[in-house]
Amino acid sequence: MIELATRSLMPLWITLGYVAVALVIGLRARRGRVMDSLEEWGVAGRSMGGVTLYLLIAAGSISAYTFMGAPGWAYSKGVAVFYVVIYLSYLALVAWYCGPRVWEFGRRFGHVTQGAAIADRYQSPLLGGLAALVMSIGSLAYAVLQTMGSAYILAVMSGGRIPVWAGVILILAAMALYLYVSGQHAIGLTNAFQGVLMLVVAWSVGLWSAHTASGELGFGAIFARLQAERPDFLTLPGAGGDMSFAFWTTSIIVSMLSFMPPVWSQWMSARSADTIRRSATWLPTYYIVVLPMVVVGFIGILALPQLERADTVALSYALGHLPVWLVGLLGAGTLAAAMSSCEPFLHSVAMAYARDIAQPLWRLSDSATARLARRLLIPIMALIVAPVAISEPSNLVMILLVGLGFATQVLPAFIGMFVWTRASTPGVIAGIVAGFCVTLAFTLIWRNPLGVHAGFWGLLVNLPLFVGVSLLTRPVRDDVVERFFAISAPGRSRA
Amino acid sequence: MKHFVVRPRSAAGWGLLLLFLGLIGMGLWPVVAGVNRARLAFGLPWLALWAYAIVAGCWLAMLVGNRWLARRAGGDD
Repeated sequence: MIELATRSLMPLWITLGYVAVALVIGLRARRGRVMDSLEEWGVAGRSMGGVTLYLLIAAGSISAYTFMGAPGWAYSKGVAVFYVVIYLSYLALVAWYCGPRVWEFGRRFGHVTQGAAIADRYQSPLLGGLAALVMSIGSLAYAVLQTMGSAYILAVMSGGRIPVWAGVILILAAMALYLYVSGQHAIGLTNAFQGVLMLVVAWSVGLWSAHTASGELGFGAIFARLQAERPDFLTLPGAGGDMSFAFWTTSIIVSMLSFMPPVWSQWMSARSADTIRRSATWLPTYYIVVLPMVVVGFIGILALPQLERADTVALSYALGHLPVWLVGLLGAGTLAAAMSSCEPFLHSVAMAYARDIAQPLWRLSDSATARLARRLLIPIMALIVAPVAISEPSNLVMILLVGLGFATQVLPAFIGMFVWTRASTPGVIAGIVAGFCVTLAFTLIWRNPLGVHAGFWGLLVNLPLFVGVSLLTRPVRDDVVERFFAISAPGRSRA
Repeated sequence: MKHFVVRPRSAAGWGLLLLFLGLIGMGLWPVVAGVNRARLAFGLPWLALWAYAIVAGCWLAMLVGNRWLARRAGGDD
């Protein structure tokens, strides 16, 4: 149901123009390379330079949430929304430390997926496949949400002329084309374009909105008025009273410790370990993109007090107060944010199904696995993402929360790669299963007890169990552990 | 093999670890409670400014880390 619409066709043409440019960039990203291996299609031949990698990771972490959800959070809760900026910066610290090690694992041991690294470290294709399968639930839910956001934007920009089902097909078809043809190369270059576009659009919309609302080309007057009239929006637990210190703290910790598969692929796509370190170093600077869009949400508190849906605040304000060309740019920017975070998830699910599940199950050759991964993109989009996105399920956010909750519960597998040599396969499985069950129960049945994030409760059970079971069971073979820790802790592996 | 938990092996490594942990602590309770006031600085709410101070801190900490790694690779450390 589209309540917002624009009468002019200019915003639609600008938005469609963006899709056309992204399509051309994605298709040309192949540059004559042969995409018959997962090394090339999956991780871009480990060739990405610092700037591309910076924009790839940055744009990948900025979803439609930044353009719709974050202003909505500011509108309904206030400064609580800034927890996003903090955890994104902490993710950069994680990338700085773990990224170069993951890249080295991939280079030396030939991993192209997260599941392959887990299977290798724990000498268990079952554990690798299981992790890949369950990670894919959250990944697919995320991709569906971004596709729904894209279709919604197209519907608004076209004044309802492009219905949601047609928008879903249009966006998925564009992404399918360039992902199939150019794989991770397409993701790298389109994300670079989308990353720059988002930055320009967010600041243009934010500053223009601030000028319209206060007559100033800055944000001070808006916050000064809020301080005088609605000071509850400037502190925790926020205007809704639902962002306690406990939830703020545990949400940041849980989000920081989620190692999502596309991020893993992005790290492995770098030209060198040093490239990842340099890109991660500058990553926090990109998150100034969040500030202006959040300010639009704060403007909405005073300008649009009766909105039914908080996440439409930026679009509603733009349609009512900004010139049509800027509304079109906002549409393009929001679509860029949705697509830039959707395509890495679709790509990583196709790779995980082919490499971590189908290959060990049917003993496929590497070339057959690479062909399968590319071809799997189409059924994943046509049979899972498109129908679910068109049906707009009401419980999708819940599926996403459960999926992301699981992502954090895989933490023991990574502790055993980067920190602790004694981690055993049964210990990791016990921790993951227990943590997942607790997260599931505290998401679906008793939501976030005592105001603590369900994923954090999961970790409180998961980690002690992981350590206890690991100490009581046989460790992984010495030669495997030494191989991994020669990279994770150079000079210490034979201590 | 003798199993172990990975930890820094030099004073600079420990310093960097403490810097990272300090930055993480800055974003969590109880530190955040200290800036949880409905006041403004440089036109922004305290909490928003604090969030971006953490962003800048993370960036600077990693720059320091890169410098340290480069010196270590060059044999100075």
